[in-house]
Amino acid sequence: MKSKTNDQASRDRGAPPGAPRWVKVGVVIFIALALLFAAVHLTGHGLGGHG
Amino acid sequence: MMMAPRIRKLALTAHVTSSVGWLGAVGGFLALAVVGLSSEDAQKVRAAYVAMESITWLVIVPLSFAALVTGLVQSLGTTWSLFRHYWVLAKLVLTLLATGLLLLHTRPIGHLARAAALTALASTDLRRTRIQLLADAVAALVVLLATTTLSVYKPRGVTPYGWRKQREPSGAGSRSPTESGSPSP
Repeated sequence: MKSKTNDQASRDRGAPPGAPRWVKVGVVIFIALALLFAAVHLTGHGLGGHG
Repeated sequence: MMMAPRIRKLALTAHVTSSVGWLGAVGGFLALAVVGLSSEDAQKVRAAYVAMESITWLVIVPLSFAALVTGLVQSLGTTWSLFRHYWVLAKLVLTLLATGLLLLHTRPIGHLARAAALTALASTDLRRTRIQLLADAVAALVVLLATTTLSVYKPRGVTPYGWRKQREPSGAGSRSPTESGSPSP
């Protein structure tokens, strides 16, 4: 409801609307997983591990 | 360029088939990874890892590229476009990521398959790689379920580029996909 109001306000102002909440949450999850992936590989548990 | 309705349906069928097929093939890969890691039967373990390499190169990799290409065709050939809606953009990023990581992980898959073909693997042999492949399959399933969910729900949200296109006075860019009846990319 709030984002709809913001979208409407942005349209009225002539500025593009901000990213919706699901995009922001998705980006945060994506960054967290990317950092986890990098950490796992940097600590030597990644692709090259042969047992 | 907008596709004619018949071509659009054909492209959509190809995209849904390849995307869902990819998801199913990763499910099969996951089942083999579980068998390879947990089975006590040495022959079964060998068979699982040899089969994993075949499934990867003959099913998963072709389907991942097919899903990527048909998705690009779908988005560029309909009014959804590629960069106008956040959910289309999110699907593109996730598909590119999944395809890239898949190609990166073909090396440990091949290594494990060759080792399994040469000798019976003890439960401790190459254990880290075996666990990694199981984790990869779970991660791939999560990503592919996310892209499928995005396709079905099509959550709201227009990018700044899409917003500008919508405000253009005339032409295809000013119509929303819902108005023009275009199916999902």
